[in-house]
Amino acid sequence: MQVKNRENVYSSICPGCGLACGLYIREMVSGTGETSVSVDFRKSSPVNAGKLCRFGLKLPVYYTEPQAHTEPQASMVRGQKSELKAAISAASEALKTAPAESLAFFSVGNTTNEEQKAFSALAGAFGAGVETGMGIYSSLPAKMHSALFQGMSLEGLEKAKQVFLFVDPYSQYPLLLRRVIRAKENGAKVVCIGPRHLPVADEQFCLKPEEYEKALSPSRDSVLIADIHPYSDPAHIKAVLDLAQASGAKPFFLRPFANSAGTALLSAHTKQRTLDKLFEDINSGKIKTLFCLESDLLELAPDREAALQALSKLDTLIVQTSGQGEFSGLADILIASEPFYRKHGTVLNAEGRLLSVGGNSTSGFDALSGLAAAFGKQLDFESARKEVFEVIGLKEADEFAFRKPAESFPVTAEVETPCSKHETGQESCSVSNSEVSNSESCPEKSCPECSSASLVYSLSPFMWHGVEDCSAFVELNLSMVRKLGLVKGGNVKIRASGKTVDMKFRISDIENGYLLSPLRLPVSGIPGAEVELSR
Amino acid sequence: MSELKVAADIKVGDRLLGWAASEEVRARGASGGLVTAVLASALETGLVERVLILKKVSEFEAYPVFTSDVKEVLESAGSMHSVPVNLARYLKPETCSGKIALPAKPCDARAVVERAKRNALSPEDTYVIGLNCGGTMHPEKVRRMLETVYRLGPEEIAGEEIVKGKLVFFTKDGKEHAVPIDDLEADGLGRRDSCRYCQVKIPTNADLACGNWGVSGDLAGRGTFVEVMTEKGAELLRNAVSAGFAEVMQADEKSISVREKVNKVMLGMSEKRKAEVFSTIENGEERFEYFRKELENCIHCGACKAVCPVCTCGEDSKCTAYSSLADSYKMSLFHMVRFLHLSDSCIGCGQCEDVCPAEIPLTRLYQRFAVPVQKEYRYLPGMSDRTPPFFALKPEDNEDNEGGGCSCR
Repeated sequence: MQVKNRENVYSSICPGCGLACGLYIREMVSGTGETSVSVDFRKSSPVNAGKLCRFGLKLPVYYTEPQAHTEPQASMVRGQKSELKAAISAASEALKTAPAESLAFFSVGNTTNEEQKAFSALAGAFGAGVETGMGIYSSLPAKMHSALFQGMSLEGLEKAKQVFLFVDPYSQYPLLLRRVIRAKENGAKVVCIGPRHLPVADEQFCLKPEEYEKALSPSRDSVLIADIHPYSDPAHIKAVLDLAQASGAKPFFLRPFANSAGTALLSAHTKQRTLDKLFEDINSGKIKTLFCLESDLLELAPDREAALQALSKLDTLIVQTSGQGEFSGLADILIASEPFYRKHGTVLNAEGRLLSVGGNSTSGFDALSGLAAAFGKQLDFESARKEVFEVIGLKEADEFAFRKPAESFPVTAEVETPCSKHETGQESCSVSNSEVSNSESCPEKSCPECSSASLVYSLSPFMWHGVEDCSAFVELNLSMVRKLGLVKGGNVKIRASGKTVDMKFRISDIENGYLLSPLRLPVSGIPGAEVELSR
Repeated sequence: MSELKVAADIKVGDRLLGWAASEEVRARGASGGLVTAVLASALETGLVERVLILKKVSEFEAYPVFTSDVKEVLESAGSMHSVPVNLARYLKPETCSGKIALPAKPCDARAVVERAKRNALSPEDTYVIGLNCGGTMHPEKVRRMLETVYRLGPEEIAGEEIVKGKLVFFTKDGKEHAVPIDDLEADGLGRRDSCRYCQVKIPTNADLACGNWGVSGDLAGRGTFVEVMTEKGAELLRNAVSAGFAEVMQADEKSISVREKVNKVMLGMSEKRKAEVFSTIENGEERFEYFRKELENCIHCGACKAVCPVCTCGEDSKCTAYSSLADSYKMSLFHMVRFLHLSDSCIGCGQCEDVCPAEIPLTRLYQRFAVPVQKEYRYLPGMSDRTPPFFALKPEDNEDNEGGGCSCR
C-alpha cells in the first residue's frame, strides 16, 4: 500500500529488458502526491545478485521524466483531463463505434501478464489478438516457435563449453555479461558475432546469416545467444535456429522488454505484424483505431517522423500508460495507469522465471477487464492469474523456479524473408546490430574524403525505452576516422535519404565499414541502411 | 559473577557484558539481544527520533529503512551476515533530520565517520552502535554454499551465525550445520573478498563496540561484550539500563583478554590475506596492463559510485565531469579520478565490487591505490575525525605530521 510522506519500498524488477533484474524502488510520495523515486540494489535477486546496468541506475529518470518529480499521470479524453472512469467509458464508446476489422491492439510487453491477459480478452471480443510488433513470429513457421521460447537459467549458461553471442551484452543486455565472463572463467570459449569487437570474445566474426553455418562450429555443449526484437531479421533468426539444430547447441533468445517472453506466449496464436506493416496499415486506412498498452510507438518506430505522420491518420488512438511522453500526449483517449513497480502481477523473464512485479495496484488490469466486460468478456484478476499460470506452466510466481523449457521443434520449413523498400529505392532487409550485412558499396570509389558505412544501432534499453543517456555520439574505427580526416573533438557528417546530421564521434574497435550509434539518427531510422560519411 | 551495573556508573572506557532485559528480545536477537535493546530503548525514550534498521524479508534478504516504530526495531533483531549492505550510505542530509541511531559493522561505522567529514550528516546527532565483524557474505554465494556444501534448501534455514571460525546454519528442525570458513573460502565461497582483508574487526570508531568475542561460560551465546567508546555511547547504554531495556555488568579480565586475542587472530588473518592479494606489480607497464585488463569489461553503469558510502559528491562529481562515454581512452577517466579520489578515503567495504555488473574486482583495484597511500600517511579512513590527507592544502598540513608526505613524489 502506498503511504504518503513516508518512503515506500517496492521489491520490484527492472523494466529495461527481458532479463528482468531484481531491485528495490524507493518511492517518496509527498502529501500533494508528488513522487520521487530512487533505485536500490537487491543483492538477493537470483537474476542479477543486486547488480544493475546503466539503465537500471537511471530508472528514476524513466519513472519521473519528462516532468521531474511529476504529478501522477492523469487520464485524458480528447485533450481534456478526465476521471479514469470517463476515459474508460470513452474508450469503450470508441471501440464500440469502430468497425471491428479496423481495430488493432498493440503491446510489446512492458506490463504484467495479468494485464496482458485482460488486453487479450478485450481484443478477443473483436476477433482480434494482441500484436507485439515482433513480426518474426509470423515470419517463421509455427513449428519453429517453441524453439524461440526455450529459456535457460543464466547459471546454466555459466556451465556452457562454448558461448556464441549474436548480441552485444555490453550495451544490449548488460547483466548477461557477468554470466558470459563466468562461463569463460569456467573454460568456455566465447565467440562473438557482430561488428563490434568485444573484450570478452575469444573469437570475433562479422558475418551474414547465410555464413553462420560455414563459419561457426558450435557443439552440443554450446549456447547460442541471440535476441528477438521489433527489427529482427527472420533470416538471421532462422540461421541461428538452423545452426542450433544442426549442432545440437542450445538456442537462447533474449528480448528487449521486461515481459516480452510472457507477452509473446500469451499472444502466441496471434498473427503478428511487423512495425513497418503496422504503420503501413495505418497509412492505408486499414487500421483506424489503435489501442496501445504500455507501448510507446514513437520510441519503437524506426522512423519517428513517419510514425508521427501515420498516427495522425488514425480516427482514434487509445493509450493506456503510466508514461508521460510525447506519445501519450498524442492519444485521443489516455487511460492513466500506475507505474510498473506499483503493479500487482507477474512477468516472465528470458530465463523462464515467473517474477512478481512487486506492487499491489490492479488499476491497469481493472481498466482493461472493465473494458473487456463491456464487450462480454468477464475476467477477474484471480482467474486471469490462474490462466496465466496455466499458459506459462508454473503454479506460482517464484523467482527460484523455472518454466519447463519447450521441446525443440525440427526446423524444416522455408522462411519468408520480408524485405521492405526504403526511400533510397534499395531493396534491403531490416537488420539489427548483430545482423548487418557488410557494406556493398566500396568506401574508396567516391571522393577520398567520403566514405559509406552500414548504420548499426546499439539497441540498448535506452533506445527501446526512449530514456536519454549521455550518448550523443556515433562510433567508427580508427582507419575510417583517418580516411575521413576527422579530428579529435570534431564531428562527422552523416548523410542518408537526403538528410544530413553532424554528430560527435568516438573511435571504437569495430569492423571497417560500420557506423554504430546508440541513438536513432534523424537521417535514417532504418538500422542497416547505408549512410554516407564525411568530415 | 560481577554485580549488575547501575546506569549512572556507566562511563567512557567501560568494558561490559550485557543483554536485553526482555526474554523475548534475548530470544530473538543475537548474543542476548543487547544491541536490539539499546536501539529500542533509544527510540522508546526519545533519545533518538529514528533508527536505521534492516527490515527482514527472509534470512537472506533485508533492506534498510528508517523507523520510529519500536516493534519494527525488535523485528529487525538477529545476525544478518548474508545481507552485506553498508548502512551509512542511507545517511544523507535529506534523511538525517533529528537524532538517529543505527547498528554498524566496522565498515558502516567508518563510512559514517567519513560522511560526517563531508557534511553528509551531523556526528552529534548520529548514534552508532558498532558490531564486531569477521566478515559478511553475498547472498548469491550463500545460496550456492547451501546447495553445494551444506546440501540444504534455503527454505530449511531458520538462522545463521559465525562461531569460532565456522559458519553455522540452524535449520528449522533444530539442527546445526557447521563448516569451517577456511574450507569454504578454499573453494571460492565464504566471506566477501574485501572482508577477508578488512583491517578493522572491532568498531572502536563507533559510540559502542559490541560483539560476542570474549563472552564465555554461562553467558556464551546469551551475552554481548560492549566497550563504551564515546560519551554518546555511554548515554545510549545508560539510557537502555535506566529504562529497563538492558542489563550490564563489568567484564572480567578473561573476557577482555579473549576478546583481544580473537581480534588479534582475525587481524592477523586479514594481514596475511592482504599480503597475498596486494603483491606488488613492480613493472610499470605490467601494472598499467593489470588495471587496463581488469577494467576492460566496464559498462560505465556508475553503480560503483552510486553505492560507495564514502562518496558524497552526488551528480556534481569530478569522476563524471571529467569523463564521457564518447572518450576512447584505454582506461576511462572516471576510474582514474575515482582511484585518486578514493586513495585516501576508500574504506574497503566491498560495496562497489558487490554491485559491479561486470564483476570487476573494484575494491581490490581501489585498495591497490589506497593501501600504499594510507600507509604512507598513516591514515586509516573512518577511524578518526582527522582530515583526509589529500584534503590538506600542503603535505605539512597533515595534522599529526606522522606521514611526512608521500615519498613517491
